[in-house]
Amino acid sequence: MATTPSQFTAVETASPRADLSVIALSGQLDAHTAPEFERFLEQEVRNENKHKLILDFSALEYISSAGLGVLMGFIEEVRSDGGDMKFACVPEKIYHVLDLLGFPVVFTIAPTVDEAAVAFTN
Amino acid sequence: MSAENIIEVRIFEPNTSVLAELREFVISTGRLVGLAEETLRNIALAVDEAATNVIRHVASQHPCLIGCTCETNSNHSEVTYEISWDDTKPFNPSIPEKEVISQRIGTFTPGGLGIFLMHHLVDDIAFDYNNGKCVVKLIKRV
Repeated sequence: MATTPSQFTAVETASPRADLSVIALSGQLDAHTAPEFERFLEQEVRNENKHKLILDFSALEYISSAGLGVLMGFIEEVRSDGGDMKFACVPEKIYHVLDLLGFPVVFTIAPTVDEAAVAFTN
Repeated sequence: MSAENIIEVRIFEPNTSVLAELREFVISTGRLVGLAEETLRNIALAVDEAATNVIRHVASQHPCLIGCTCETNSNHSEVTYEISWDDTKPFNPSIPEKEVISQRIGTFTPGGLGIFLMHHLVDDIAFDYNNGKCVVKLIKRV
């Protein structure tokens, strides 16, 4: 019995501020779907010059090191351009993985998108 | 540990498209032996990381299938997921320390995250190599 391969989407959604981009992640972010996420961030960061990103994790069901590697691959770039990448609405099961690896020390993790937006001004 | 009772064995193609099915295999067999949901999620991630490593670093060099076996010991106090594949050399990676991983995240170099996660999501990891077959055993005490 074959299971459908992992499904993942990243879409830009309504932002509380014009200078911020909110990206809603959903599905399963593993080694199969990480290349798709990488292409999405390339478009956002390199082609559209968006460097202040809020990632809304609320509908993300799963993440492995492949997905985390994509985030790490872009954080230096957006910060060097005066931007940042902040996480919002991270489900407990996803936070557990982030916490194991020490991501909360390096990334701002906010309870809501609005609070992540406020963190950009602080 | 003497893992004696094989719950199920499944063979997977060495492609990332099988990762969802592999995780589902772990969750369904883990439920059969009574693992809690959080434990199931942790083991599924550890098995995913092990298989991803094989797909990326072994199967890209030569064709091989990935076997995944769920087994328990005689009194069901340990559950072992065994990931195996044919290879020409043993697989026995060093496991990075927490401090090293934190520094890598700070400097944005992702190497070693998967191995680190595997190590911290289960109770024990054992590596074996015999007659051209590599085996990673991910062991969880119940």
